[in-house]
Amino acid sequence: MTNHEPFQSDAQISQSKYAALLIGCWLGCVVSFFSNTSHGKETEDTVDFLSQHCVDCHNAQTTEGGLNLRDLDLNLEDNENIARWINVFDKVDQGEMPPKDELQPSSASRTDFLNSLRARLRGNTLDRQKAQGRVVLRRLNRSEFANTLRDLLGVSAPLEELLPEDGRADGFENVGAALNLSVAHLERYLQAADQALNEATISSHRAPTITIRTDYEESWHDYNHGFQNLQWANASDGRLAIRWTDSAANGTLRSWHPPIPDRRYRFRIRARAMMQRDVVDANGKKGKSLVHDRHIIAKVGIGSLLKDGLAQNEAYFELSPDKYREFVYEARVPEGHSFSIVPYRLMPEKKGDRVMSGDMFVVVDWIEIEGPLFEGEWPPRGHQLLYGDLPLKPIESAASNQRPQVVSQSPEVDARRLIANFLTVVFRRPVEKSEIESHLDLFREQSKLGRPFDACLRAAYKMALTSPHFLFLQETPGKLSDYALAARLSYGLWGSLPDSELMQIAAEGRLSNPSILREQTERLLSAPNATRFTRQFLGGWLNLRDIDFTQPDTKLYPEFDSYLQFCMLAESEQYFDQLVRHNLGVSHIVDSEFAMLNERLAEHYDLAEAFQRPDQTSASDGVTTSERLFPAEGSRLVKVQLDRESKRGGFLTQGAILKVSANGTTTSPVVRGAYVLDRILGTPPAPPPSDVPSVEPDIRGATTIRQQLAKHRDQSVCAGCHAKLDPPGFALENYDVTGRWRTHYRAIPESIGDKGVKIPGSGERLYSQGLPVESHYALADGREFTDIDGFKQIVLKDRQQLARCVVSKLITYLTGATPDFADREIVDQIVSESAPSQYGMRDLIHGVIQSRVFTHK
Amino acid sequence: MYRANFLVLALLFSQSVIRANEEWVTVGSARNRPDRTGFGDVAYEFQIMKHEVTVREYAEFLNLVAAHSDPHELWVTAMGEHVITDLGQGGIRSDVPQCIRREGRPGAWKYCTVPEREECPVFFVTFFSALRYANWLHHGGQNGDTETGAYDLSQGENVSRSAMAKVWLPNENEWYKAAYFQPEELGGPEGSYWQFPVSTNDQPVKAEPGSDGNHAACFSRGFGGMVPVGSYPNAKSPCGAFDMGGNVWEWTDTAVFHSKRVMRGGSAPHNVEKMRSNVRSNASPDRWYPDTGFRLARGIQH
Repeated sequence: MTNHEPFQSDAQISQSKYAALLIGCWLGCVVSFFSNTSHGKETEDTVDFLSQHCVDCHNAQTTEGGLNLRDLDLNLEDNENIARWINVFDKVDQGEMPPKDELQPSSASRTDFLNSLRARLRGNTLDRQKAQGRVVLRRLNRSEFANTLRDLLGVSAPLEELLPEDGRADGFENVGAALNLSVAHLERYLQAADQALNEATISSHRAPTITIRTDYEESWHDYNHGFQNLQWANASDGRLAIRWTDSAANGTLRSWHPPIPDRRYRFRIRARAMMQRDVVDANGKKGKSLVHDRHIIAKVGIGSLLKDGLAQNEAYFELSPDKYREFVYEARVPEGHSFSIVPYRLMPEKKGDRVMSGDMFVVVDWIEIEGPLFEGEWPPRGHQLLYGDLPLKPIESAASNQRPQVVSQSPEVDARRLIANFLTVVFRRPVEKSEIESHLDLFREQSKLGRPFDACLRAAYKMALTSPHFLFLQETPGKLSDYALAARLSYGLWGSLPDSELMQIAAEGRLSNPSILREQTERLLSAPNATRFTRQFLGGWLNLRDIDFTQPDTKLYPEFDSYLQFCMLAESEQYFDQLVRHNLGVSHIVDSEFAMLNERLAEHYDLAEAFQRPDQTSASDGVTTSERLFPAEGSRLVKVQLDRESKRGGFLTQGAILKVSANGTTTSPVVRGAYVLDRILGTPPAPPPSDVPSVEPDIRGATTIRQQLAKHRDQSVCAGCHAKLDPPGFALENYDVTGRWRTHYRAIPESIGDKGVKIPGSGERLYSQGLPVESHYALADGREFTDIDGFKQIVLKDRQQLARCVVSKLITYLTGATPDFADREIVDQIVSESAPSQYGMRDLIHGVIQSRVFTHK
Repeated sequence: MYRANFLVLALLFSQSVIRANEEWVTVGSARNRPDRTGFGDVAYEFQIMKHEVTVREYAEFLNLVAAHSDPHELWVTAMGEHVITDLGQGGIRSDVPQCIRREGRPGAWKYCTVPEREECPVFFVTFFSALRYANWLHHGGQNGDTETGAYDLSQGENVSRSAMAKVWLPNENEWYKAAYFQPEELGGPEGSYWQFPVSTNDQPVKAEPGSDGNHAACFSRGFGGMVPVGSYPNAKSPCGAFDMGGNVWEWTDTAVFHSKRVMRGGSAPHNVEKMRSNVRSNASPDRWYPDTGFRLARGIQH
């Protein structure tokens, strides 16, 4: 026995006293915190609840779960404090606290505590919303800025590339709180505005749209690395054939340049598929033979003439071996770029078919190029918006490099008229005289410097396009004006400024009428621009924006390619379009009787048989999007009915979701579990503690992730969170990083001996069969499941929670702010009202737009 | 004075030597049927050069018409030195061959053949330069007009052969007939057209120059692998023209895709497939390549 063991030291005693003293002080503060919303008895009960059930574990000495209630500031002006109190509320509300093995409060005591805390938090939120609105001043993000200029000026430049990345909140890039504005932003906005205004200003009298036809012969002669026979061949009819290579340089049409760069051109291509085969002749001599016996997917795009490979706007077309097929591709062609086509992969024709080959060729008969294309009247609408009907000053001589200039007989009068009109459009509201004058002042200043009339006007326009009145949505606390409502609706569903119809209704003051608002919502949802809503909303909600973030390991997943990824993204987007178009219930998030597939996806999901019988009655649904993304018939996505036993159906089992929830090499049940909890179930887990190392999956294949996590969970600090995180992750464990179904893990061969697994579709073996996948698990509440089907059934028992999650995400995206505590009752109301349609997706969107969170700042 | 006259006589003599060295072969069987490819029917008899125009011949042409100035770029820099371009036409490779160097200064240019290339087919020649060479011969091969005669070059990319042309660039049908046509009754194959321009349907073999192997010809010899014309004694078309397959691509005056011009026959760097009758290539008339030359045709000389 030592002197210290049975006794507390003086220092320890004084520490305990000090702690008790501090807790006493803190409880005094809590009394005043709750007394704002409670009567004396209630306040007393609330304080009793905290002191009896919480403070013992959550104090300075024992900060269970990292929470020290003593440090919890009671000032609800601070967002972090609010979040902590909401966390306290949720833990008690969901029965997680007090822990099961601690003294439990009575039901009445728990209810009283929750009511009291709810009232405090709700009152505080509503007060703040009334004074400031729930949405902070919101800047247009880069895609909204670019869409606006494109729609406004009719330009096609990829302006997003000029702008800095935006911050994210809750996964979304349009949340005001995460959208700061720096000098760097303004510089880039100026640059983008400059480029858009210049592109919209016509640089010549209307260039004739001409059509030329050519082939690849001259390009072949021009090819820098020329005379490499292996990269080319001649088909049996003598036509030049382009072989697959790891660069696309041989597929770039070098003999053509856009006569006017940065305009759209239409390419009509006549091409056919060809293969090279190894053959042995009658004398046993080995050789090569060119045959037409396989369908091939060709990749087309606009490639740089100076660099190898495709750069942008890639599209895919299926080529037939039997005959030449014509297909059409349209794209904007920048200077120094040209059309490109290369063979990309084979179309699988039977299960396990080889789909990757270096012996693929695209035989090109001819390419017809039409352009530059001009939509509608001349001058284009952007030029008309900028300069009205003012005439162009003729070019003095054809040899001159001067571009024609807009001229005015009455510069001041014309400038005032044009600037006033421009400001009304870009500010999305009527403008004040002073606003017109300030922009006119800049016009006058520029004129005094002797600059041409149109350049002076562009300076004023550029000022407008970098003005806060354009860059920020103009919303004031309380009910939104009709103009602000129009802008919120348009940026929400079209990612761009309101069109003339919406502005007209706003001007008439009718948009705030719920039935008119519903009509306009329907109109916008049914328009082609609604694809922007799909892309941006899914980009944030399901994190599809990060589909490019990781690349599957080429040794473990060699069958993965960019075309598959392209198809995966389209699958999720077109599936969401179906949910919205047909108001399908929220259960479709986790399960569905149909999928949107093309041959490539069907092959990847092992659904080739199901794909043979697409649902013809609905095959035309969404065809607009599909036709745009997949111009060739064979690669277009169609609605396919799934068998009951299918392991597909719903977002959860789609390739894009499974890819963004994995890294390039392995899947982690923890990462996928967190993804499902946050984005599907709406119960985001707490962030991982910083002092606990993450679990790194063993790609050698010696241990499974299940074995590793079992060890990890043995640490008490980890067990609580993993009880919730791991189950949904294990439910998805049968899907690899590319979304393919697996029964065994893949491993690098050196680790566990060579079991000779061949890569489906390639004939090569780069990985070995690892340990078997085990997906059975139990939720934290003890409910067990054996695989993804069982997990889906459990989740589908609480569809309201699925709907709550989607509504919360919709509120975040459509209003630019995450739901506040007081908004929870609105979420519940929207969910409740959509119950008759099984929480139909379109009803949920309408519900959000009709609600106070949308119609008020 | 005597000295000056002697120089003129020497020049004329040397020109007559050039003319004397040009050999022509006759392509008979007027009004023949086209091949299954649709090409090869020619309604008249004509003659075609037995060999491609050589580096030596083209250098002499340059010394006569481009010594003072070369406004039409009959000589391009790539003929004499390694040129790097952004779009091929010699490209970034270091092994691009040369054939004619230019020395002197503006007003007094002298064009010299690159050693051991003299009897090779000339290359780096544009379609327009081939037409100017034809005009030059049309006028008798003197230091005369290159802009009119067989072709009026002022027509630009739409230029077409004059009905009065004495010497011309063969059109695709003429070239095709000279390369592949041999009537069945005169020992030709069924249908009267060979698949290769060396009087065979069997794939010609790759061999060294001088080989009299089975239809050996100049192909798959790598970049700059052109050889003196007639180096392969069996690389001969039915009418007796050599190297219509391989050595250099040969311009024809047939337009495709508006203003591009057809080239045929393949070349030394390319594989044997380019020599087949169903393969035709093309390029814009102002483009030059390190494996593209030409030969000319003319009417029957009585």
